[in-house]
Parts: sequence; C-alpha cells; structure tokens
Amino acid sequence: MKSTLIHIVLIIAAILIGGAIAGHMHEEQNKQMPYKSLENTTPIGGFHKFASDIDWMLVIQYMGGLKSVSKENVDEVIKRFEKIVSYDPNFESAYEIGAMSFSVENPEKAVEFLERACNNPQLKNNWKLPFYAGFILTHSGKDDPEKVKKAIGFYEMAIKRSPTPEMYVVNSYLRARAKAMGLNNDKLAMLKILFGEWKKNAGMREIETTSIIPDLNQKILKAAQEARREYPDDKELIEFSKKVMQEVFKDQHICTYCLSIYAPGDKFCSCCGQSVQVFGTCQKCGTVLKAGFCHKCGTKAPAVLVQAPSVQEGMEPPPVAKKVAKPVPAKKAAK
Amino acid sequence: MSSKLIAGTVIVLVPAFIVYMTSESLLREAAIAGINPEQVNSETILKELPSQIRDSINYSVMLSQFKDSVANASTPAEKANALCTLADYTTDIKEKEDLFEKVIKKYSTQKESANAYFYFFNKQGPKVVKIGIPELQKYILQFSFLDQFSLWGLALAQLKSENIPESKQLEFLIPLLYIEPNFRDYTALYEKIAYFASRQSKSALYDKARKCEEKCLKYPFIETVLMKELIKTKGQEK
Repeated sequence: MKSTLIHIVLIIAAILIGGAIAGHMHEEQNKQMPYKSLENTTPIGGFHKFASDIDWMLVIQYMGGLKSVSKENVDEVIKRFEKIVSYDPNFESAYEIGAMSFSVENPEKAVEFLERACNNPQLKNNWKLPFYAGFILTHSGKDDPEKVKKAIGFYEMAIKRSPTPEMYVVNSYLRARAKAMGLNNDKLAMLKILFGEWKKNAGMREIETTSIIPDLNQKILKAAQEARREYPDDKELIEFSKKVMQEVFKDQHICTYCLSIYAPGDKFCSCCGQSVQVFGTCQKCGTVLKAGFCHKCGTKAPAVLVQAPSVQEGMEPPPVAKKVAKPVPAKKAAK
Repeated sequence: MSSKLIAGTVIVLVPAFIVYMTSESLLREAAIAGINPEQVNSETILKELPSQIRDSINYSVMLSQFKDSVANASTPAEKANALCTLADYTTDIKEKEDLFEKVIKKYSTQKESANAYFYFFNKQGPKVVKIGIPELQKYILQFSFLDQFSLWGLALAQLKSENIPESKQLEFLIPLLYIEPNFRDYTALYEKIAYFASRQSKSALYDKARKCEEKCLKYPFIETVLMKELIKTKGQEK
C-alpha cells in the first residue's frame, strides 16, 4: 500500500515536472522558430511535416476528382488546404495553389489565406504570395477602391521582396495606384504616378536611386506616348505631358507631336513624320557633327554641343578649361 | 642582545642598503638611457601588450577623454552631445542609464539628446525612464523640419529592427499627416504611411498620405538646400 502511494506521488511529480519543462521548451522553441506558433497543436510527436505531406497528397487526389471548384465544394477545398498549412505553416505551394484554386469562389478567404503566408517571417522572401493576394483583390473588386488600395500594399511588398521584380508585378502595382487615384483619365493618372516617382529621386541620382520601379525614364516616355495617342484632345494631359517631358528629358530632343526621341540632323520625326527642330549639325555646311569641330569644313561647333549635360541644381559646375594661347608661327615671332 | 651586536648589525646593514639602492638606480638609468623617446611612446608600448590589457587601457583612456569633453562642454547642445557619447561608450549599464536619464531630464529640447530617447524608446523590462510612442513623437515634433527628418527615420528603423507590428509603426508616423514639411525627402515617410495604411485597409489614411506626398514633391531635397547654403557661405568667405 505504502509503495503504491509512493509510486502515485512519483508519477504525479514526474507529470508536473515534465509539463513545466515542456512548457518552457515550447516558449524557447517559439523564440527560436516563431513560425512554430502558427503550427497545429495536435500531439503527433513532431511529425507535423509528415502529416502535412500526407494531407497534400490527399488534396491532390481530391482535386483530381473535381471538375472545378464551385459553390458546392469550395468549403471542403478550403478546409483541406487550411489543414495542410496548419501542420506546416511554411508550405509555400499549399498557399499558392490553394489560394488560387478557391480565389474565384471565395476571394476574401483566398486573400486572408495569402495574407497569413505573407506575415509568416519564414516566407518573407517569397514575392509570389503578396502578388497573388494583390492580383485577387484587384480582379475580384474592380470597382471597389478599398480593395484596390489594399492591393497596392501587396504589390509593393511583392516588388520589395523580389531582387529583380517582374514587369507584370511592377505594371500591376502602377495600374492599381493609378486606379486608386480616382481620375477619369487613367493614362493621365499613370503619368502622374510615374512623374511623382521620378521626382522623388530626381535630386538624388548622385547618391543612389531609391525608386522601386525599374527603367523609370523609359516607362515615363512610353506612358506619355500612349496617353497622347489615346487622348489627343485632352488639354490637361497635353499640358502635363509637356511639363513631364521638359523636366525628365531636358537633355534629350523629343518630337513634340508623338514624343519620340530623334537623332542629330533629323529634320522630320522618323515615327510620325512631323517636322522637328534640327540639332547637332554644322552651322556652315549642315553636316551632322561628331565632335567639337565639323569633320567636313572644320567649323567650330557651338558650345552647347561640346559641353557636358547641364549641371544639376545645387551642384558645383565642372571646371572650365582655360584658354590656351595659340602658338605663334616662327616667321611672325622672328618679325 | 648586546649593544655591540646591534651596532655591528646597523653598521653592516645600513651601508649595504645604501649600496643596493645606488646600484639599482644606476642600473635602471643605464637601461633607460638607450631608449629613443621618439620611437617609444604610449602607442608602441600598447601595441606590445596583450589584447585584453590593451583593450581595457584603451577603454579607460577613451572613457576619460569623453568625461573630459563632458566637463569642457559649455552650451546645452554640447553637453547633451558629450553626455550621450559618454553614455553610448560606457559598458556600465547603471552609469549608462543614469547618464541618459540626466540627458532626458535636463536637455529634452536639444536634438543632440536623440540617442537618450532612442535608448529608452520601447525598452522592455524595468525602466528608469519610460519613453513610448507619444513621448518620442512630442520630442521629435519640437524641432525644425530639417532636423526632424532624420529623427523620424531613425525611430522608424528602430521600430522595424525590433519587429514592432506594422499597426504600431503606422501609429507612430500619424503626426506627419498633420504637418506640412517643406522638404521632398519626406515623401519617403509618406510613402511608408501609405504602405502601412494599405496593408491595414485604412483607406482614408492612404489617401491623406498620398496627398501629403504629392505636396512634398513641390519642395527641394534637404541635400540641395544644404548644398546651396554651403555654396553661399563659401562665396561669402571668399
């Protein structure tokens, strides 16, 4: 009787100590691996990844038997994908494929599902997850400005996560921002956003460009050209595009009609055929200049063509070369 | 002991002691005479020492230099700067916290006190001074827009490094929506607000941040303004 009592006391003490140690270890584990807190607490002896793999295979089988994800089966599909990521919160493919599969029937749930993945620090380098979330938001709520604004955050996250963002990600971001502006003219909105991005970095080019949008200047030119083509009579757009061209491409020669860059010596724009202001030719013989002097007649080129591009605001001008006295011919010197 | 024995001992020991001291001093002088004072200075001696001793000597030297600069500082800005430098350098946590506390209590209107605020900002555990989001906002907002920009940026970087939730980071930046800074650099902060607002589905805040961002685009960069001032000062000097 006495020994039984001792055994019972020992068992209780062991359970209590074991529980305390397990609790402490769980806390420590959560500190080391924060994603573990997202995991399912079912006691399966640490075989969570294995369980998620089995569920993944079962989902593949289940999805193979479906014609499409419809109203009838969407809840079951969500439940199955939820179960997989509850066992393994870092299962990227489950998030991507799962969210896309039920995004048409239940876009809100798909965005919520992807948002959970975006907030998982273990998946912080995956740019596709926020992109899909943004994509679902913009396509499920085209007229809802709230959804479009929420999508911008996801697109921005996708661009920042990607070392070389894909063009479609950048364009989706720009389109969403243009839509969120709420202007009637979408092309003008796009141009305004691109010009704003350019202005944010315009004075800092010497240090580092901070824009998240690659090839900004080319994008501005293309957007201005498209806008002019689609809305040739919009006065506000014409004025704004003129201002943009003057500021962004102040060192380049652009056709005022179609906004294409033309080469030195061109009398007509090669894109639209309109006459353009000729530049870069010799004032005497009209030959296209290659350097400081005309290679045909020897006439000195105007200073504008020889000098370096205009000095940036606030920067010191480059040192001006001193005038060197012409060597005096020997005969004259003797006289 | 007989008096003869005592006298004999004294007669032997005292001259022996004097001879010992004289020979020792002669030997030491002879040893030092060969040293070139230009080659042997504190730095060369320090180089020869083991790293642990060298570090501790360096630490003491630097600490005393920083203490000297605290004593020599005359203006409140200089005092705040010197105290913060000393507090940053010292490894004694108690001394560090005392110094930063002193800076916050005495020099809360100096921009040089920023390090003290950042030290206590959002600090976990027992605190000497409690600096939360409202206190830091109040401290930053008292300065000119030129000085404010870097402080906002540093505070935001600290929040980010401590993995503070985005909702808190947004809350911290909210006062920026109610001021009109006249520098283009602030667009980066407004962009951050717009990003946080977008992530948290706060549409009104998003719109406001974008409007503020657009307003800031009209103004020059801090770098440009400073460069112009520098050129102007150089011109006046000439």
